[in-house]
Amino acid sequence: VPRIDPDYDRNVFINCPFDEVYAPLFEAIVFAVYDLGFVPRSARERLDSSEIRLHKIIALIRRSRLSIHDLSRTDLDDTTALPRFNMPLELGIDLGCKTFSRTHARKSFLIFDSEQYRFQKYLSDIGGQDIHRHGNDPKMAVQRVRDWLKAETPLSAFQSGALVYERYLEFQRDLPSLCAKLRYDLDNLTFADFADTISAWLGYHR
Amino acid sequence: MATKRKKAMPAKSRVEIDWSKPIPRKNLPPLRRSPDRGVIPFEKIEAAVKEVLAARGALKKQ
Repeated sequence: VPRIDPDYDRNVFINCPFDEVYAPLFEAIVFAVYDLGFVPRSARERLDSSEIRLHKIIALIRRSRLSIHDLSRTDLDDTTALPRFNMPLELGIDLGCKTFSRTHARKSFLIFDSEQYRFQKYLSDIGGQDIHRHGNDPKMAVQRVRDWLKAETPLSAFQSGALVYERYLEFQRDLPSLCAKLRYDLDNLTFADFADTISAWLGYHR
Repeated sequence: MATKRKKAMPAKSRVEIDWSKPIPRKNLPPLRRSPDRGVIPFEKIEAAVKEVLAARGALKKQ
């Protein structure tokens, strides 16, 4: 039986697309998770190419009590005209983990789609779950993440989603100067470096 | 003979964070850091963050 990660209750697995268009949503979600006192985990955090991607994802699912599954890019591929189904597959693995493992029975998910009832056309079996709309808007995504995590923690020191988003915008304004000081290309920051930059910024920001 | 008095300088506030445990924050949930390391040394990131925040008066004071 695999041991539970000591940070299991605080780890938030983020299952989302890794394309440029999605980047503003992803970055806002990662920032909000940190600012709310949790640790975002993503398949992008490990650079080891020898690891099979699905194995990385399964390991993260096992280590995280909380998961954000974003199904908003479940659409037809421009070239093949076939549906892209990675995100729903990973949601399915997480649902299976919660269902079949007693250790993971307290798992909680935030499931996103771009529109609230779109999933009924392609994944109607998850009809009993609450699916949240982010409208491809980072501010709305931050608000939803904040509301969900607030419900998942007994802590009272929780600011409003608007304040978390305001802090995120402030961080975004500092990011180009930070990258210039570090002599790093803003568009090529690794997930781990981006995450460390958020941590340091939140830690030293007054 | 008059002794030369040293000009009193305000003590520099040095903010150092112990990242091995959750960081308490006023009216905010404690901050946690990911266990995974990137390619940029964290000390460099910290130094850059302090510099950028200090330049616009937003650096936390001890």
